[in-house]
Amino acid sequence: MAISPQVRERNAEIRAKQHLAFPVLADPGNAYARRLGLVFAFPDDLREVYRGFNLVLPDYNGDGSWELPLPTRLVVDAEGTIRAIDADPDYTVRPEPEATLAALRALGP
Amino acid sequence: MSTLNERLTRIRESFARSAPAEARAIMHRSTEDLRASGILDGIPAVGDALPAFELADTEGELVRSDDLLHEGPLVVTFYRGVW
Repeated sequence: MAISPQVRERNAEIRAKQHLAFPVLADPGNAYARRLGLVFAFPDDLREVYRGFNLVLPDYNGDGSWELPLPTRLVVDAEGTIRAIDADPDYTVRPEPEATLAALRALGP
Repeated sequence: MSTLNERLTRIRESFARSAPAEARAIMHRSTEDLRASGILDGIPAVGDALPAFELADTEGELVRSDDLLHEGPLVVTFYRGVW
C-alpha cells in the first residue's frame, strides 16, 4: 500500500490515474512519515521553481508546509519487522519492481 | 520491456531537455543538499519494527498496519503526489 501527504481526493486521483488496486492512505502533515524520519521541507527557491511549473504543493496537501516524504519503499514481514528499505532524495531513483519481489520472496513461505 | 530505471532515466533526460536551466539547477542543488544533510542516516534500518499506523484510505476508512500485517507481509511506498 502507499502513503502520501495529499488530501484524500488527490489520493483518489492517484489510484484512478495509475489503476491501483491497493490502498493509498492519507498522512496529513506528514505526521507518520515524520516518525520515520523521512520528511524534508522545500527551500524557498525550490518552492518558486514548483510555482513556476504550477505545482503548488499546499493545494495538493492541504497544508502550507511545502514538506514531503523522501520517496521510500519498505518491505515489512508479517511480524512487523522491516526487512528492506530503499529511500533516496532523488525522486527519479527507485527500486526496481523485481527487487521488491525478490525481497518478498526472501521472507519465505 | 524496459526496466523502471530505464524509463526513469528517459523521464529525467526529457525533463533536462525541456525545463529551464535555472529551474533544473535549483532542483539538482536541492536534491544534493538534502543528500548532504544526512537525512538518510535517520531513516529506519533493516531489523527495526515498523511504527504502527492508522491512516484513512480514499474512502475515508481507517486502515491499521496491525490489521494489514495479520494478512501477511507488507510493501509500504511513500508517494509524494499525483503531480
